[in-house]
This record gives sequence, C-alpha cells and structure tokens, in this order.
Amino acid sequence: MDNLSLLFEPFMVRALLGAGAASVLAAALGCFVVWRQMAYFGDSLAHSSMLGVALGAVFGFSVNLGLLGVAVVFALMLFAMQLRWRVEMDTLLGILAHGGLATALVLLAVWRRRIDLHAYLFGDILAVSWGEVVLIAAGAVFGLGVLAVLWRGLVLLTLDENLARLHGIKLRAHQLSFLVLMALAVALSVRVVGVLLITALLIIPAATARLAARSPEGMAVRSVMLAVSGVVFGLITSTTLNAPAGPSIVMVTAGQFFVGLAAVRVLGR
Amino acid sequence: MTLIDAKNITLCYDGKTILDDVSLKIGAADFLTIIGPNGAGKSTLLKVMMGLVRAGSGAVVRQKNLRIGYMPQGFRANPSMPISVARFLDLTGAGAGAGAGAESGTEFETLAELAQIESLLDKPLQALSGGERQRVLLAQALAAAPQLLILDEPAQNLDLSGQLAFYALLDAIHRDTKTSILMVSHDLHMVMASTRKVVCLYRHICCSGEPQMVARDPEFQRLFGDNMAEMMAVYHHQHDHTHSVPHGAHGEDA
Repeated sequence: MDNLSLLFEPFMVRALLGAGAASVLAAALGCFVVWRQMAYFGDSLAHSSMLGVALGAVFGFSVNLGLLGVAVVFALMLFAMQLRWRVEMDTLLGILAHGGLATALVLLAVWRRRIDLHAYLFGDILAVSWGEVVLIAAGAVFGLGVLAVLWRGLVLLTLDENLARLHGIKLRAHQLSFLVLMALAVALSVRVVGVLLITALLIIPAATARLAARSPEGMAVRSVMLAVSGVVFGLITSTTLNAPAGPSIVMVTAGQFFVGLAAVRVLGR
Repeated sequence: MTLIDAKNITLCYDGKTILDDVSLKIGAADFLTIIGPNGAGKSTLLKVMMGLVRAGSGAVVRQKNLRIGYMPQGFRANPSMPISVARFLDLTGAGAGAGAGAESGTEFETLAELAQIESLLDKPLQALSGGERQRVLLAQALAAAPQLLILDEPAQNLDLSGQLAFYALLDAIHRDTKTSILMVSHDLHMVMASTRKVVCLYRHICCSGEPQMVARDPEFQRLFGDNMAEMMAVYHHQHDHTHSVPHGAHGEDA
C-alpha cells in the first residue's frame, strides 16, 4: 500500500503527467508508423537525436532544445535526401541513426562532458521538473492538433498516394509535416523512455489497438488509451519493484500486446 | 468539347524516355482505351493528363473545374489499417455521410446500387475479393459525378467472368450517364472485341483507331506479335458476324 501512496507524491504526479502527455502523441502517431511500416524510421530518428543531447551538453545550450532541433533537422534531411538522391530509405536510416549516435558519444568523450548517459538512453521521467512537464504537455497538445488537421489526408495518402492527390491532398506538405511531427514525438519521449526505447512507445500501443479496432480512428483512440494505461501501470510497476520507469512502461505495453493477442485468439473475434 | 488536351508530351526519368511526343485528346462522351506492353508509359500518361506528374515538355490543358473520377492501378488495402468499405468511401468523399447534396452529385444509395456494393459496406477493405475491390474503387471514382473517368487497368486480377461483368458495368455507365472514359487495359480480347477507339502506346503513339484497324497495323503486330494480331483480327471478324445486326444502338458519337 505504501507503494500506491507513492503515486500521489509530487515527483510521481509529474512523471504521470509528463509520460502520459508524451505517450498520447506517440501512440496516435504510432498508428501511421504501423500502417506505413516506419518502425525503423522511428528508431533512427530517436538514435540520431542523441547527437542533439551531446551538442547541447558540449555547447552549453538546453539539451531539450538540442534534441528537438536535431530530430527536426534529421527528419528534414531524410526528406530532402530521399527526394534528391533517391538513396534507399533503409540504408539512409541506418547511416543517420548510427552516425548520429556514434558522433554523440565521441563528442561527449572529447569534450569530457559527464552527462547521465543512462538517463538519455533509457529515460528518466521520475526526475522530470514541472517546467519540463509543461513543455511536454504543450508539445503534445500542439502535435495532436496538427495531427487532427492532417488526419484525413494522411490516411488517404497511406491508402493510395495517387488517389489521395487526385482528391486534392498535398503530398509534400503532408509528408513534411508528418516527419516534423515524428521528430516532435521523439523529442518529447526521450525523457520518458530514452532514445533506445522510443520505438516501443510508437508501435506497441498501436499494434495492440490494431487487434480490436475496426476503423483508423478507432485504432488511434484505443492506441492512446492503451498508452496512457501503460504509463500508469508502468509507473506503479516501477515503484513497486523499484525498477527504472521507462523500461517498466515499455514492459507493461508489451504485456498488453500479448494479453490482447491471446484474448483475440481465444475469443476468436 | 475537349475535357483534356495533352499536346506533345515528352517525359524522361533517370535518362530513360518514358513518353516521347505524345498527343492525346479526350472529349465529352468519349470512350478511349490505351493499350500497350508493360513499361510503355501508359500509367504515366494518365498521371500526366490528371496533373499528378509533370511533363518534361509539352502542355496539358484541362477543362476548368473538370471533375475526374480515378481508379488507381493495383490498389491494395493496407494490411495493417482497420477500415471498412463505408469508411473508405467516406474518406474519399463518396460516403453516405459525405454530403450527397446537389453539387456533390450522385446520391449515395444510387451509387452503391450502381456499383453493386450495398452488401459490402460493412466489410473490412482487406476482406474484399478482387472484383468487389474494383467495384468499390469504381464507386469511389463515380462519387463526385465525374465528367471523366480515368481507369488504370481496372479489370486487372479479375477472372474472365469478373472482367466481363466489370466491362458490362462500365458500358452501362458510359451509355446511361455519358461520362467520358479514359482507360488503360491489358485485356486485349475485351478491348478488341468492342468498337471503341483504341490507342496503342509504346512511349509514343504507335497507332490509334478502331480495333480492327489497329490490329492490322504493322506497329501493333510488331509490339504484340503476329500471333496476337492474327488472333485479334480473327476474333473481331467472328464478333462482327454475330453482332452485326443489333449494332447502331450504341450511340457512341452522340
């Protein structure tokens, strides 16, 4: 019972709000990541955003700003490189992901910046400040608003690009906005689960939601609800077992998926 | 009245010529079929005419506010997106909820009946058979009461009876609504059996005209082989005989 009362401690309230807000955006966007098979893209964006952390630490500006900046720049680079040089997306992602992560680690070593690497790799939501919670929430609300506006266009483009364009959907504008939204979701989620686990926040709730959903919107709503409950039960698990918060949240969402899968198999849908 | 007028379209991609000085015009109540081997630039030409792909040189003039209905080639339902036929039609502006008002054209029920998809509306898009999927796409294309239907291999992957049914449906739509149709087709036996105008494309327009004439054209024979050309000529010959009496009912140039 002591563990449950921990839920109402200020640090825990901050963690719940911060992780909840970030995971709502990630889970909604995650539907597109599942539909468009962009899991590796999310991974690459997350890994390379570590460079932002390093740049922030080395040059002494806000690490959060560095994260968002590098994620957006990488998303735009991907967009441009794919258009201009027609490099294979998969290869390009591998280069950017590992190039970024490696460069970040080298930078930190050369400039002898001692940052809590672990916190950025696996998240550190229990240490989040009120200021950061407000930033995360504002970012998530903004992201969800943009996603709502673009929703029909993005779904149509996912179904068939040519058909969507004939219906007046602007291809480039939607692609570009989507990439920036992905960058935003990644930047917001680093604090929660760390760069190594962000993809889980994107795809697992969406994949679980897919099991029971009958419409794209239904899938997004279920994905968001699953993510929020994953955060709540993940943080309870974390305090109960005295385990790190980020991995606990991801473990719970993975558990949801397998329970859902079993339920669908048993009930036969 | 010309709906789309494409003049001297040339398009190169990665140093390869896809379209070479192609001119094609489609007018009101036309029914035009483009045939040609794989990689002939047929789909690209359709996209250029719709304005989805920009031509390297040449000009495309579309009638102002032209309403185009389009069936893309090889549409596959996204396997991981849960979506019903009704919701798909909603999203494309064809659904029951998407304003069946005066200007958006056809009443949804009429449309569903015309394309024979009433029983499919609650089904997941992925669960449709090939023929069902094509009828749903057709309903989607017809929703905006188009002046022009652009169909990219609409009967692809249908079995023979499915093809027959689909082309009969297209014929009926063309006859009843006077909607212009511009179609790419691989179903030579269907195309050549009709009396519609055929354009044979292989990067440039090799020949065009009535199917019989096209089948006798040396370029057509070179592209599709002598056997195919012979078969077409024979097929059409027999066809002429059996159907020569009730002709004229078609009113194609009306």
